Amino acid sequence: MTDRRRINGPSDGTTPIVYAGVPKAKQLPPRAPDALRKIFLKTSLTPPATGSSFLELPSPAPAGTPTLKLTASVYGPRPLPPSAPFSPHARLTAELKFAPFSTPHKRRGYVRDAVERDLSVQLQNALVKSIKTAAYPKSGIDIFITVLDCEGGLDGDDDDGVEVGLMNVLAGAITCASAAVADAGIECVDLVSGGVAALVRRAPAGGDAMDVDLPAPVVVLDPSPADGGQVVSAAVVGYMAGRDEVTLLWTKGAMETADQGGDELDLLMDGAITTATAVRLVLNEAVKERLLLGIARSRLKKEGGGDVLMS
Amino acid sequence: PGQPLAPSSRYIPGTGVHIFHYEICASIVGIPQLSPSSPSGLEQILSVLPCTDSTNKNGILPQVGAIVLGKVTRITHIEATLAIFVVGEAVCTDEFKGIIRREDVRAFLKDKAKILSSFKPGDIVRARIISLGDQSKYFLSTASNDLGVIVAHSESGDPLNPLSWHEMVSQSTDMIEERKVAKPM
Repeated sequence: MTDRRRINGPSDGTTPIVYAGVPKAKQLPPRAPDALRKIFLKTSLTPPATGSSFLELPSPAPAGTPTLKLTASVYGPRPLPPSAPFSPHARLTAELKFAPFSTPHKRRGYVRDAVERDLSVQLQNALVKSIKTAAYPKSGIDIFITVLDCEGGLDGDDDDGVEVGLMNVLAGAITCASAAVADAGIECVDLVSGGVAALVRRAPAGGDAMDVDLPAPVVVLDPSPADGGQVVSAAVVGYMAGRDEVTLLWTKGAMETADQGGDELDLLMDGAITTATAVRLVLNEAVKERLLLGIARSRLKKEGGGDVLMS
Repeated sequence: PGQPLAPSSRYIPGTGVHIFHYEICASIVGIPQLSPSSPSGLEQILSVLPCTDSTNKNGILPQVGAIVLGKVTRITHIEATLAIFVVGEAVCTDEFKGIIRREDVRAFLKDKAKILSSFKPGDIVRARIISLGDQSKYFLSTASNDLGVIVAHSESGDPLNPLSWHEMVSQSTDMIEERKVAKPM
């Protein structure tokens, strides 16, 4: 019976579309434990925002491999709503959001969950020490980070695996937010960069070979969830390289501290600080690039308006 | 930011820098510049100036002592409320709220000033910020010759031209209205 009141589909039904299968991402060649992946960082990409930046890691990556992509927008200093109490400092709010398409297999809901709230608070703690909020009374500085693609997933793949993916997101968010704040021209004491280090017990072998058990856990800098291997513990650090100060330290997993006789925590922290220092160089370059571009553009404007000199 | 520029004993810190461990360090991304502190002074001021690029809008915040332009939104017997939209030479993306109290309208005989004879809603006023105020508004003052109403319209809607420090005349009808007028530059 045709239903004339509605637009109907084909009467004999349809079969669901079957895809050929997700193409297997090319296995990247195994890295040395202290080799860092290349970062792409660019600022001033969002015109309406006071400052903005985009981070991609690793870059360049072969097509099909998931990479970590973050975008940060900074608005401020802008006036607080009249209902807010008077504050002699700027009020810094950081908000981190995962796009629904950012995780590879399962689509994330758009509702804010505990993971996002936690990362937002950590990000705020990492940045608040570096921004000179006393220079901007009665105002608000808002930082918005959107994660477009978190490489691999957020959950540890092994049963004991630590969520290295989440730590990478936080470290990338710290770096990206610092670049955006510098791009906005907000006065800072120093730029904060994020670095991750992990203790790996089982290193991945190339290809399809079984993972190799290591005699002793090795500290891996800038671990990637795609690298595989079994992560025992990991640490993410927000580090101000100019002042040699750590603004944020988040560790997860089992590690021996100094009073237990081992030095695994110190190794992890040092590894993360080394990573963060290297990331700071990338941050400096990205921020300087925008400045040089602006200088060249303003010089062109001045020359264009002047008289043409006949030689 | 964070890059050390010079020892603090050599220069006076200007804008865009801060002092850390006896060294002047940069606070923003920009070009360091030296300027003399006084015409005959030996000390120089070291500042970092941001690159003036039109694609990058910096958040502007009113500071104490800055000259601002605001539009009068409401008047009462004791104060006039302004919506500040220009701070210094930069147009703000968000409007700030400020008030001019009756005793800050003019410098002499300030208790005899009347808000109704000085401002009307819709006037554009040049004022100076005298205080950060409280949570919702800045405090402004027009107690100077060059501060006051710069653009106004009469009750019938035609533009007013300045006549003296307290009078403006309509362009078409020659009727005089009272305002606290800024001296035209």
